[in-house]
Amino acid sequence: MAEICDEFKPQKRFKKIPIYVVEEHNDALQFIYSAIGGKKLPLEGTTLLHLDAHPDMLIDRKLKGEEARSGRHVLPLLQIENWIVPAAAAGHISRVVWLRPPWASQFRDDTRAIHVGDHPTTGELRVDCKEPYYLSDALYSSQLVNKRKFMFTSAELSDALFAGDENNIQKLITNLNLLQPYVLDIDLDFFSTGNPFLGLYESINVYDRLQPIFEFKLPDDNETETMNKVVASRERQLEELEHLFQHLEQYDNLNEYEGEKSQLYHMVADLAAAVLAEAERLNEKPDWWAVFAGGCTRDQGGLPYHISTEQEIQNLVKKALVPLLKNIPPPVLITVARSTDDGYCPPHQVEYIQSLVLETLKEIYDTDDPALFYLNVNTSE
Amino acid sequence: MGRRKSKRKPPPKRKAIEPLDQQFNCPFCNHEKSCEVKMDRARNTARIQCRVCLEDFQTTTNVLSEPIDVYNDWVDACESAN
Repeated sequence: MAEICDEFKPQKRFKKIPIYVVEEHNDALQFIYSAIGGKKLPLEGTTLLHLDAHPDMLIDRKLKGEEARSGRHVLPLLQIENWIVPAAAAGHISRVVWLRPPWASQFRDDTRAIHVGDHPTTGELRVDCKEPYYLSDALYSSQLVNKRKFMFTSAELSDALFAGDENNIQKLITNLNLLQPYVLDIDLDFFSTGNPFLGLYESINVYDRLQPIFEFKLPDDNETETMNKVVASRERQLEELEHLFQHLEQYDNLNEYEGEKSQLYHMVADLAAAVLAEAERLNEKPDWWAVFAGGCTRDQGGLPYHISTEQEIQNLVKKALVPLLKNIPPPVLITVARSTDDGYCPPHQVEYIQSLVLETLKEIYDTDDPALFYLNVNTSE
Repeated sequence: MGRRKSKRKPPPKRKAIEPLDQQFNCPFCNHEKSCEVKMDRARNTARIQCRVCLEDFQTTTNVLSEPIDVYNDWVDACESAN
C-alpha cells in the first residue's frame, strides 16, 4: 500500500480529484504544473503513474537543460514522445512508473535510477541511461552537469497477469512501491494501439524499406568509451538523414543535394524515387515529413501495434485497471490523453474507451466532472 | 524537422497551453477584475491587491506559481478566516 512521504506532502488538497482529458499527451503536463503551482502537488517528489503503450520518455535532441528547468516556458517546446523527462530534469517528477500493455516492450521491466542533466559542451538535455531506447536516439551522455536523479519503473499491466493468481495484484503493487503524492496518467492507446506509419505508402512497402536506412545496431559492450563512440556515430547518421529529408521536403528529389554521397544517400535516393512515383500515381504531394518520422520509429524494430477487440478493451479496464486502482490509494489528480488524431488510439474505438475509462474512474474515486480540454484547443493557424 | 518517435503529422499552430487569468474579482468589494498580482520570483513571494478597495494579501510561491494561484490562496485564506 502506498504511503504519503512527509517530505513531499503538498500544502493544499483538491476538494475532489480533478480529471483533465487532452488530445495530445504532452498537453497533460500543464495541468500537473498548475497543480504544483497551486500547492496541490509538491515542487519536487511527485510520482507519475503512466499507463500507455508508449513510454513518452524521449528528449527533444535540441532541448537545452535550462529550457527544461524554465518552469511553464518549457510547455510549448514539448511533443507527445518527449514530455516527461524534462519535468524530471526540473525535479518536478521524481519517479515515473510506466505500466505497459503486453504488446509494448520499449523498455525491459525493471526499476532503475536515471540521471538527467545538461551535456557539458552543448547544454542539451541528456541522460546517463545506456538502454537501447536512449542510445538509438543518441540521447546518452557519460557526463552531465546540473544533473538530477529520477527513478523509472517499467512493468506490464494486463488482465492475463491477474487472471492466473490473485496474489499477482499484490505482487505488482509491492513491486511498484508507489508513494504518494502521485498523478494517475492514462493514455487511451494503452487499451488499443494503432501505428499510423504502417499505412504509409503501403503498396510500395515504405515502412519496411525504412528499416535498413534508420537501423541502429546495439554495441557489443556497454563500456563508456564504446557508448560515446556509438552515440557520436548515431548522431552523424541522424543528422545526415535529417539533412537528406529536409532537402526532399524542399525539392522533392536529391538531384542538387550537396552533402556527401554516402551509402545512406544512395539508400534514401532509391527510396525517394519510389515514394515520388507512388505519390504521382496517387496524385498527391509526397509527404516526406511522414516518411522521415516513420523511419525514426524503425530503429529498434518499430512501434507497438495491437487493435484490441471490444472484449479485450473491457477486460483490460475491468480486470486490470480496476483491480490495480482499488488496491492503491487515490491520486492527487488524473490526466487522460486520447491520442487519436494522430492514429495511436484507433479513431473508431476512442469514444468507447474514453467513456469506459471515465466511468470507471468516477466509480472508484470522488472526482470532479472531467474537464474535456481537447474540445477547447484552438487548432486554427 | 524534428526527430519524432511516435507522431505522424507536424502539429498545427495552436493554443494548446491554456492561458491563465491575470486579473481577478475582489473577494471583499466584489468588483470584477479589480485585483492584480505582483510576483516576486526572486523571493518566492507574491502580493495581490484590489485597486478599488485596496485590500491586499501576500503569500509564498514557487517556480510554477501563477497569479491564479496567489488569488486562490487569498480566497482560501478568506474561507478559513470565516
